[in-house]
Amino acid sequence: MSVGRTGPFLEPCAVLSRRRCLPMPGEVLLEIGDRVLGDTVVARAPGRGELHAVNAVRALDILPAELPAALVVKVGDRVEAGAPLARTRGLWGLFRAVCRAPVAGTVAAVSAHTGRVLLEEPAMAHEVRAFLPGVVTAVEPGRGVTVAGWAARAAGVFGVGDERSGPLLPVVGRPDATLDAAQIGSDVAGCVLLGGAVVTADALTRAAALGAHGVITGGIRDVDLASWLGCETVLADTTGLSPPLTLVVIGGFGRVPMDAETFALLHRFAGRRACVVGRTRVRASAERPEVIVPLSPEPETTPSPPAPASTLRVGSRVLVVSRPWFGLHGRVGRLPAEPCRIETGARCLVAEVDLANGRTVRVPRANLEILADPEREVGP
Amino acid sequence: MDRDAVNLPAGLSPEDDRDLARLARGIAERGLTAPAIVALSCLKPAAFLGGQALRFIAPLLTTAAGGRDWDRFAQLLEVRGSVERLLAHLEALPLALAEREPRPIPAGSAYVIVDCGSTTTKAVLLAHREGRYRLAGRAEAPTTVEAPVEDVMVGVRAALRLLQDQTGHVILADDGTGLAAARGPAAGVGAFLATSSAGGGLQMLVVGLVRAMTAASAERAALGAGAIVIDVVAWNDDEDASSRLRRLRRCRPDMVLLAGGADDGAVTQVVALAELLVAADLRPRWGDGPLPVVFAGNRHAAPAVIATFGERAEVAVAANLRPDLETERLQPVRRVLHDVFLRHVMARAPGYPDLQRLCTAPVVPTPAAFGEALDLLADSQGGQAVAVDLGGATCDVFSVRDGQVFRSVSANLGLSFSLGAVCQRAGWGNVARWLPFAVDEGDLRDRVRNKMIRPTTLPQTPEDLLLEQAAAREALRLALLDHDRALQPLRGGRDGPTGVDALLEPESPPTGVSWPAVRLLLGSGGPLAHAPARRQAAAILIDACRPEGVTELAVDSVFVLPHLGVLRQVDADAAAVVLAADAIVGLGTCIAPVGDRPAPANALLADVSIADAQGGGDPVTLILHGGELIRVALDAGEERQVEVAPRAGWDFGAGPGRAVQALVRGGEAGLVLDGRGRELPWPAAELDRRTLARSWLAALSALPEGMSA
Repeated sequence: MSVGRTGPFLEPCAVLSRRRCLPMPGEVLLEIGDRVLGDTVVARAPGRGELHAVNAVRALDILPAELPAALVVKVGDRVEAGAPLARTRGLWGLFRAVCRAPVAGTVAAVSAHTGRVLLEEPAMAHEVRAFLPGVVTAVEPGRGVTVAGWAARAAGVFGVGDERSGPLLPVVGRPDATLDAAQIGSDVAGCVLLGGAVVTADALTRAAALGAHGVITGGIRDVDLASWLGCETVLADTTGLSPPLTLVVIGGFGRVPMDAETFALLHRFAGRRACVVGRTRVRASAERPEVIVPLSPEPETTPSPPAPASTLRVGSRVLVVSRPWFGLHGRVGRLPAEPCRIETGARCLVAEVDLANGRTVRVPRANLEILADPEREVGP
Repeated sequence: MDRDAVNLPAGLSPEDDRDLARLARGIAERGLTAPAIVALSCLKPAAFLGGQALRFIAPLLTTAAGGRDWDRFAQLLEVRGSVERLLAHLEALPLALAEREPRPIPAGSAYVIVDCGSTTTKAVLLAHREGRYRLAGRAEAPTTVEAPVEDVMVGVRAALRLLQDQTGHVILADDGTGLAAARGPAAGVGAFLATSSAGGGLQMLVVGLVRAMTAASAERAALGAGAIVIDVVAWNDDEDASSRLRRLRRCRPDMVLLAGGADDGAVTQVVALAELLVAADLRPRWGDGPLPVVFAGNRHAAPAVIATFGERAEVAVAANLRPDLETERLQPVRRVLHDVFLRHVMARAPGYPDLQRLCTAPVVPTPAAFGEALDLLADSQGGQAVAVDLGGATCDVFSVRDGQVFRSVSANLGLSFSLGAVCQRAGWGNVARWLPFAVDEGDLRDRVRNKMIRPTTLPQTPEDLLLEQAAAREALRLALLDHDRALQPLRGGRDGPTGVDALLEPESPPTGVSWPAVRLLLGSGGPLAHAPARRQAAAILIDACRPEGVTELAVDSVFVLPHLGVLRQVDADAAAVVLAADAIVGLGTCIAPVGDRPAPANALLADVSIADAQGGGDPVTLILHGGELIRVALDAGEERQVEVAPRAGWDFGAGPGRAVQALVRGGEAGLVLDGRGRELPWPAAELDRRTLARSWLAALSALPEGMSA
C-alpha cells in the first residue's frame, strides 16, 4: 500500500484519539477523565521572546571594556522601549551619549567581548489546545495529554495551514466540480468550504479575503497553489507555512475528483463544526492533514482506541494513486502472490483492480490506497 | 580517512616509527585517543623541549604503555618530530579501535549487521561458508525511533526476527531480547554491528568565524563524520546579530561544532560566538539535557569558551581544525564528534543505549560507514572512486582520493520528499530536456508534487519512469557541483591566497573530482539500484556524472554498503569479500574523452580496438565520432582488452594523442563509448531535443519496455 494518507482514510463515525503535546517541557493542565472542547488549553509552556542584540558600544562610541561602567541596567532588569541601557558620562555632564532599548523586554545578557546588550521581548506562553472535543484518556507529565472523542474523519494527503475550525459549507454540488471564485458568496467568514475535484488560486484568494477558515478539495494544480501561496512548495513539508486559511487536499495534485463517499459524508455534515488541519510533513514524524467533524452525543464510557488501518485484501475498495489510472476507484479482484512485470519493465507485487468504469487493471500494490467501505454503518 | 605520507623525521628510524604506532594503538585501545590528540596538539609547539613534553602526557603514557615500555617511549618522544608522528598514527587508526577494544569474535562465526535508516531498519546476515563470508540473508522492518513507538530496538528486533525466520539461522536468544551466542558458523552471532541515520541522522549545527575558512573547514569535518549539517553560521555572515540569533533559535541540532581562529589568532570573536550560542538557548533534539558542543577552534580560547557555556552545554574540546591558515586537520575533530555522538546523542535517542550494549563495536553514522565501504572498494580497485547515493530527501556524494574520503551532502536533492527542490534548482526545462516526449509544464509539476506527497509509489508508466530518471540525472548533476565546491582548495591555505587576501579573493572555480583518475563510479539509492533495467542506471550515471577516460560503472544492488563499512572495523577481509561478491553489481565500462573540449558532430575522436582479454581472435575495431554514443555488448563476467588511439590531439586519459590500453569489465550496459563531450550538445529546437534524447536512450538500450526506439 502507498504511504500517503494516514489511514483509515474515511471514518464516518469512530472514536478518534489524538496526542496533544508540547514541543518542549511544560505544564499539563488536565487529568485523565477531564472533558474538553476543541479550544480547551491542555498544556502550557513558557515561551521564548524575540531576541534583540543592541550594539551598545557602537551607539556610545566606546570600547567593550568600557561598557560595564556605562551600563545603567543589569541582567534580569525589565526595560521599556526607549529606556536607556547605557550612557557615557560626557564632559561635565554634557555631550552624554545614550544607548536606548529599541523594544520593551528583559536584559538577557551583556557581552564584555562584543559590547552588545541582549534584550528578550516578553514571551507568549506556548499553549496546546485539545482540537478534538472529547475526554482526556492519558497524561504525559510535563508534555501533554491524549484526547479521545467521537467524530467523523476524512484524511487528506496534502495541505497547508494551521488548526482551524468552522461550520462546514458545501460550495459545489458534485465531487468532480471545480471550485472557482465566482461560486464563493460573501457570507463565508469563519466557514470551512467544501469543494470538489479542484480549486483555483482565485477561489482560495477570495475565500481567504472573506475570512473563510478552510477549504477542502479533491485536488489542486501546483501552479494554482504556488500562485496563491506566493511561493513554491519545493519540499513535502508545509509545517513552516501559515497562510490565512487552511487547505486540505484529499486526492492529490491536478484535477482529482473527491471520492464519492468522502464527498457525500462531508456534504451530509453541512452546517456542523468541522476541524481542519493542513500541516503536512512527509518525512520522519510524519504529519498529514485531516478533516474532523466532532459527533454528539459523546459516550459516557471511556472511549476505546481507534481501529487499526485496514490491510489490502481481495474485495478491498481502493484508490489508484499513480498514472495512468490516477484518482480512479475500484475493488481488488485478485492479489497475485508473486511479483509481476509492469509496463516499465520493473517487477513488483501487484493487485488486479476492477475499476468503477468496468475495466480491470493491474496496479503495483505500492500505488493503492484502501478506502472505507460504503456498506459500513454511518452514525450515530 | 586521512593518511599521512611516510616521510619520517631525521631522528626517527622505521623501527622507532613502528613503536610509535604501537603506542598509538595502546592509547586508542584504552579509549584515550581524543584526550591524547588534544594534549599532543597543545604541546606540539613546545616539542623541541623533547622529554619535557612527556610530562604533559605522562598519565596517558603510563596507562597506554605500561611499565615495561615506559623507558623506550620516553626516549622516543624526546626525538624531534616524534610527537607529530604519534599524532599521525593516532589519527590514522580506525574509528572503532580509537573508541574501545572490540569484543573477541569467535573465528568463522556469523556477523549480523543492522542499518537503522529513517524509514526502515535493514538487517543482514553474513555467514562463513566454504572458507569465506557471504551475504546469507537480508530483512527489513520499519524503524521505530520516532513516535508512537520511540524505541529503535523494537524495529531492530523485528528485522532480526524476520532475518531469523527467512534464513533459519538462530540470531535471537531464547528470551527474544538478546542475541544468541555463537555456536559455530551455523548458529548464533559472533559479531553484531550497527549503523544509524534514523530520526534524520546526526544533525549538526556548524559555527565558525569566517564562512570561507573556519566555517567551511568545520562543515567538511561535520560532513566527514557523517552528519547532516542543518545550518552553517559564521561571524562574518552579512546579517545583524538579532537575525543571527533568530536563525539559531530555529535549530534543534543533536550537537554543535564550534570552530574559529588560528591558534595564534582571534580569541574575542570566538568567545563571542559562544556567547551567541548561549544567548540563543539552543535545545538538543533528543532529551532535555544540555546541548553537546564540540569546540575545535583556537586552543587559547578553549578555557573562555568552556567558561562561557558553563552549565548550558556539555563542551568537548578537540584539536583546532585550522591551527594555522595553511593547515586543515579534520581527523581529530571527526574523532571527537564521533565520541560525542556515541556518548551523548546516541545515549539520549530512544532505545540506542540498548542497541549500543548489544553491539560488538560502536554504532557508526550511516554515511560515515558508507564512506568506509567506498574506501575499501577504492583500495581494491586502485585509483580514485566516486559514489553517489541518491535518496528520497538527499543526495550524498563520496569521493576517495589518495586514501582520503570526501563527502558532500546536498540536503534537498532527493527523488521523493525533495523532488520539487530538484526541479526548482535545476529548472523545469532542464528536467524535461531528458524526456523523449512532449510534456506540459503544468502537468509535469503536478506529477512531481504527487510523487513528493506519496513517496513510496512506483512509476507505472514508461513516461513516469523516464520522468523519475530525468530528475535523477539533474539531482546527480547538481550534487556533483556541490561536491566540487566542497573540494575547493583551502582559502588561506597553501593553494590559495592567505590572510586578508583570502577573504577578498573571489571564490576560485571548483577543482573537484578529477574524473580521468576515477576508476570506479558507483551508484546507490532506489532510482539507481532499483531501475527496471541496469542499463538505465548506467545511462543515468553516464549522463549525469560525465565520467572521463576509462571508468567502471557499478551499483550497490542490495543497500549493504553501510553494513560492510561498519564491518570493516572488525573484519576488513570479510567486508572486502562480501563487497565484491554480493554487494556490487558491475554495469559495464564507459570510455569518454577527457576535458571540456566540444566534440563536434562527426569529428573523428578515436580508433577503438576491442580484443579478447587473453589476446585470442581478431580484434573488433570502431571509430568514435563526436556526438556519438556507442554501446558494445559485453556481458557481466566478461573482460576485453581495449585500446583507444585518439585522433587529432584528443585525450582519453593518457594525455593528448596518446593511446590508452585498458582491461575493461562488462555488465548489462556493456562497453559504452561516449563521444558526446563533457558538455552535452542540446539542440535548441524542441523536436530535435526530443529526438536526440530518445536516440541516446536507444543507443544504450535504456528505453523502458513498451516504448519503441
